[in-house]
Amino acid sequence: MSESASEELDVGSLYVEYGSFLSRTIERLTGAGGHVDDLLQETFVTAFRKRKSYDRTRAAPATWLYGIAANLCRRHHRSAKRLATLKAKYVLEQVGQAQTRPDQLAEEAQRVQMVYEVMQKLPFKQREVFSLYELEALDGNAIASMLGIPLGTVWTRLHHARQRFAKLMQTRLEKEGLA
Amino acid sequence: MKEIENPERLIHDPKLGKWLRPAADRMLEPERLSRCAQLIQQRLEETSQAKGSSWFDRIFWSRRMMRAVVPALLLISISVGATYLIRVFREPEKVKPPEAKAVLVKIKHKPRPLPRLTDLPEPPKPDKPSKLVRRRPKTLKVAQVQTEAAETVESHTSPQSQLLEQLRLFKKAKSAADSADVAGALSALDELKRQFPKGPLGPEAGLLRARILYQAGHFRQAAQCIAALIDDPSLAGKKAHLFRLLGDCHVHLKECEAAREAFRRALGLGLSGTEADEARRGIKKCTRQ
Repeated sequence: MSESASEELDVGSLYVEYGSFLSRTIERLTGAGGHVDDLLQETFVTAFRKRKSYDRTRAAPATWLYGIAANLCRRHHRSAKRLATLKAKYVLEQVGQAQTRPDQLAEEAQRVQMVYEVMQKLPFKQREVFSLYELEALDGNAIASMLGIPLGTVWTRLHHARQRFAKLMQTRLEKEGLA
Repeated sequence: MKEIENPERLIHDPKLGKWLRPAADRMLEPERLSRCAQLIQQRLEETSQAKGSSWFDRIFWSRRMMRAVVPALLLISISVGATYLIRVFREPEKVKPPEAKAVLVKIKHKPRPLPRLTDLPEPPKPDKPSKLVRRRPKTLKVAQVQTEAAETVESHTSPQSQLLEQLRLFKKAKSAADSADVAGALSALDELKRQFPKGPLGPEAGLLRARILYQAGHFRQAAQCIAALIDDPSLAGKKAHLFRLLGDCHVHLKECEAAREAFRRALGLGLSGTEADEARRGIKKCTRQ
């Protein structure tokens, strides 16, 4: 990477542009909780440290940042899977209680919590494709370029993720009596 | 590969959409995002301060430096170790520790004294004598050789005794010649030539024979004898004397031309004193004849 390119890379501007997207993605990949803030911070600190190795010609900033965040999420998921789930549940309940409209937002929080819990049962590769396509509403080409995989692989992973999500969701709703 | 259009999202599915839409719409609160931004800023400042207090620290602790230096050190240490092990296993005698080399140097400069024969251990005695020893014992062979050598010494005179014998015969011939005993002198010289045909006194004996023959009046035999001795390298210093004697022989034989030639050659070889005068007189005599 050239020196001028590294100087042009401003982490503050990146945070303004992609901070919200990455926070959502991290939460969907790892579940809700305080660790989302930590992972988000860690993503941008890592981006700042590795800013000189970033090659603008090889990947867009969003792709590069998503790669860092996905690696951190994968590591977090491996190291503290069960603990993260418990923390997410606790923090989500706290967040729901802190809302100004508790009657409406509590129901939404319950739904979000259920979706996140079901998503956590998907394999990571299927989960990230499912999250980016179904919840973030990115198209197949954008996901393929962001993950660095062929478009066909994106559809394959999405297909399996959908099948599995639908099955798990159906089971969960039947179990909760909400079907 | 056939391009596949984006499939319809599950969020539009009537059954799952109501569950997915709150998750899709969920966003982190702006306060939470701003708090994260502040924390990120704080951490970046801490990182910058901790990372580069000086240019040396930045270079030394940079990951690129460590990535370059650590593998290089590992490779060097592995290669050195492998080389040493290969040398040790392939040539164990050549590679020695420094202490051993020092000991070797000491030994090289200060040789160890040889052990005495009495200190040496006795050689092992064989239980059965070998076939060679049984056939012909080594001691018997040595004894036989020594006996044969002693017999040879007894039968042949030593070189010193041979020289004495030659001198004895030569002196006998000379004394006989001095006492005008031509026959005795010639017999002694014959005996000398018979016993020692290639002895060191051969040329001197020949010269003595020529003189005796000349004095006895046998000029022809004397001339033949001198002609045989002239080219002898051991008589090179007496060559002028031999030519003068040859000239005298030819004078007595009435061979003036040969006599004159012999006297000229004698004078040409540096003949001096009374002999030179006699040679000149002989030339004049021959010229007159």
